[in-house]
Amino acid sequence: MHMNTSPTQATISVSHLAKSFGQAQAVHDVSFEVQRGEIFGLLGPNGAGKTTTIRMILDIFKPDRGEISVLGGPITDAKKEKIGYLPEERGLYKDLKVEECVLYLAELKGLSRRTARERATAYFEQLDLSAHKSKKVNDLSKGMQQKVQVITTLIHQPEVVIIDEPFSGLDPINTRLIQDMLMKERQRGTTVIMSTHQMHQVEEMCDRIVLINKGDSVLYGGVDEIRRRYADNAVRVTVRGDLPDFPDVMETSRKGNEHTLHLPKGMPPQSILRQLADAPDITVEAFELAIPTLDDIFVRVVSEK
Amino acid sequence: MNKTLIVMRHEFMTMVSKPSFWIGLIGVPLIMGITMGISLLGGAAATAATISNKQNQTVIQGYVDHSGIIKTLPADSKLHSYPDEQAALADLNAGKINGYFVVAANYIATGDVTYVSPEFTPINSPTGNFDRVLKLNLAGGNQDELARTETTVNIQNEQALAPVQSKGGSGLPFPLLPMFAGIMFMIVMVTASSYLMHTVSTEKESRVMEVLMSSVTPTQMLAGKVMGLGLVGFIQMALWLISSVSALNTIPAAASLGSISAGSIIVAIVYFIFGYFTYAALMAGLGAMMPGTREAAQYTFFVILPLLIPMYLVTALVLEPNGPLAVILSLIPFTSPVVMVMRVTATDVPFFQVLAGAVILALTSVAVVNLVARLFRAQMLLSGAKPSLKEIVAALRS
Repeated sequence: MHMNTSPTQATISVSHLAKSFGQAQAVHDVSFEVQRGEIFGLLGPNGAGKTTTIRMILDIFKPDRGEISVLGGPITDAKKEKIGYLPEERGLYKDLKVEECVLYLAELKGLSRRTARERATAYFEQLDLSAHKSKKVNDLSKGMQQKVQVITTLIHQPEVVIIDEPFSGLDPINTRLIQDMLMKERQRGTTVIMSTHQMHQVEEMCDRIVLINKGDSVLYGGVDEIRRRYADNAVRVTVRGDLPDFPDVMETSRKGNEHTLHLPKGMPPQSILRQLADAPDITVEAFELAIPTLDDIFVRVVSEK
Repeated sequence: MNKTLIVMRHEFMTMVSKPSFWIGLIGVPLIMGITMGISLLGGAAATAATISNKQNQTVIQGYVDHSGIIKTLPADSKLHSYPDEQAALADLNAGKINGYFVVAANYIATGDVTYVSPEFTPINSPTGNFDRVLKLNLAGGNQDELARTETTVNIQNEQALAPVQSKGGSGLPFPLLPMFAGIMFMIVMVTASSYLMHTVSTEKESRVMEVLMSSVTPTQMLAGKVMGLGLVGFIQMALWLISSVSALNTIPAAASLGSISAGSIIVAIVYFIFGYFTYAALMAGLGAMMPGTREAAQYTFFVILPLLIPMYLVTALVLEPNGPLAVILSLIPFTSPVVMVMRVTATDVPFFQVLAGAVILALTSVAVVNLVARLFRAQMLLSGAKPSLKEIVAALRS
């Protein structure tokens, strides 16, 4: 059951957060809001302060400065039970039986043992783990341990899921499994915060992002909006045959049959499309606006800093 | 359910579901019992051997009586009287006697008797024979009166004679019961507190700590672990105590080892609780600081060393349970849990000493728990590196 939050009220709001450990400033000035039911990407290079930010949201660390609001106010023990957390460095009790491990972590999230057992049984069946629930965690393959870890993150049906590097070290099958589960969570209305380096996953899954670099939030907004913001006036064209000369085009680069044409400011891309349609002896296979990938934007923003 | 209680139940159930726990629970008293049995049989065999040897060789003892109490010797006595220790020692060195007793001038008040022989023979000691000589003379040299005192007022006689200050009538000059009580107590405390450290460092090493930290606070976790494993240790100790008391009360041979009084049990419980809190907190702090089980294990010995010290000094402690060494070690909070239990099972300890030791230990446990709680913080628990001394000091000051 989800807590009622008004549509305008952010599920998580972080404002001018700062945190130091001794002389090292891990987070300098980070602000963002996560809306209910969205998948939000928390991006940044290694050591940017992403994990420290997550730990402050979870009340594991106290911020030196700044405000954090979770589900409409300061975090409480009751609210912690509404959050599912999958840290980057995964961990389970290696010497415990799978079921016992899941039940203990579920109980710590406020489930009764009976409810935890019922839900665990359903998850084990869903993820083909029923035959392994009495084995020790250590005896499972890495992929299976990953599934168990996901169960412990979702078993209490959290309102917010915070997942740090969900796809690191996973094969394509397990990557798809996690991806599907996160999409299902979004359909259920769960808010998901995902920290990752895999930009294509972000483009595919995230609604909005914040990019943190050296402890500061440097880029924030919707994925499509940011890509457009960083787009030059350029088109990407794939043709069979020789590309005709375009006198007004400033620069052309080529990768196989794919050409990127940089247009002067104010020149509409349709004029290129019209010229291509009129050109003899070529077949246009693809024509699109050359919007930069998040990967390009990430590198550009981080390098500029 | 309260998070602390969930952690407590988890730690308790995990511990008692381990085969090693049950092996320890049953195995340790079993080994102790067998060892005690062998000692008793050995003592009996030695006595039998002595009787047998008497037919072939004569054991001659001497004595120096500074108190002037010995006026009559039993008819079958092979005792030689010496005016001073110098003369007795000369004959001992010359091989004319096997050993000699020195009765202190204030014997009536203190019961002090010293036995000097070339070798330390705790099991096959001639103390019992000389007891009879002293008892006969305390009875005014009358054999009938001696027989009466031997069969009726044992306790009074023991207090008057008390040659080795033994509380029970074991017949064994070396009191095994306090030694074994001390060993068992040490094992329970070391086991419970070591396992506490192990669980903390395992959670750090396996990285499950971060998931736990998103559900419970470090304080809830520390409290749950300390209580859960403390309960395991308490039950272990209680079962060992019950089985020991039952054995001493029901097995005739074991009864000769002595007895455990209700007062001793209460003292043991109080000292266990505060001693466990002290050591559990120290070990939890060690687990919190070290990045993994291996690093933590390297330092374990230094933390539990004070519990082992009484084991190295066990002879002195149980033979002189009210001596200065025993008194001092039973007041020092890190050794007192084991030493006080040894003392109360060996002799009557003045109440103010029991109380003082308990108060010092309780205050220490409160201080240690408070300090360790400062180390038991998320930053320390999630760190993969060993903290510097500066960082530890900073955490303790926080």
